[in-house]
Amino acid sequence: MEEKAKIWMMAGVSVLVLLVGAMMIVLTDGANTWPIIAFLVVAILAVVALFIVSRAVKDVRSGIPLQDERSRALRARASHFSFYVSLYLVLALAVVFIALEDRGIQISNSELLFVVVVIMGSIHIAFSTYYNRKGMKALE
Amino acid sequence: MKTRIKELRARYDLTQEDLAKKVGVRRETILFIEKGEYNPSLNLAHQIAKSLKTTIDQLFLFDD
Repeated sequence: MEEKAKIWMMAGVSVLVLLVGAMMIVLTDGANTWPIIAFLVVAILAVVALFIVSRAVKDVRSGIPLQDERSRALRARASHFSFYVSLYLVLALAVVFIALEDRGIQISNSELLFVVVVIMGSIHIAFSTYYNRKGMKALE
Repeated sequence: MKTRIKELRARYDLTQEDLAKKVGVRRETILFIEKGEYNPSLNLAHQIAKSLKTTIDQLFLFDD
């Protein structure tokens, strides 16, 4: 299967899995669904990581470096922006969670930490992908 | 900025991947340099020019 088709298929399956998880939360009013959602997200991340590692191994075996000056510059820029965007989002989340607590909805620390880590990771991946596709023009 | 990388690659029958391996970068880097969407470091520009048996000023064409 072509590399691009594989990526689209993986993205499609991931979205489907997350949609099913979201539907479960809605249908059960959020009762005892967090562990299942957490497991699904971790499973998706594991599959994506496996795919990325297998591609990296293939590149190294064929003599292509994993990083070069362009990818390092892109990664640095993506990290820079994702850090600031994450800061704002975490601040916004804190406000949302405080508002939820005021209405009597309790959120555990582990759930909060899980949400923050997933958001930060997703933002970094989104920025890296954007800069990687847009090239250096997006950096200027 | 325009480049003559594509033209010279064709002359020496090199693919983007061949050139990338020669100069030690990823294929996408060569692609973006060819399109004029990434300005390589002086060192990388020198290595590409050397691989294509030319000089930097003949490889990279500036508008002014």
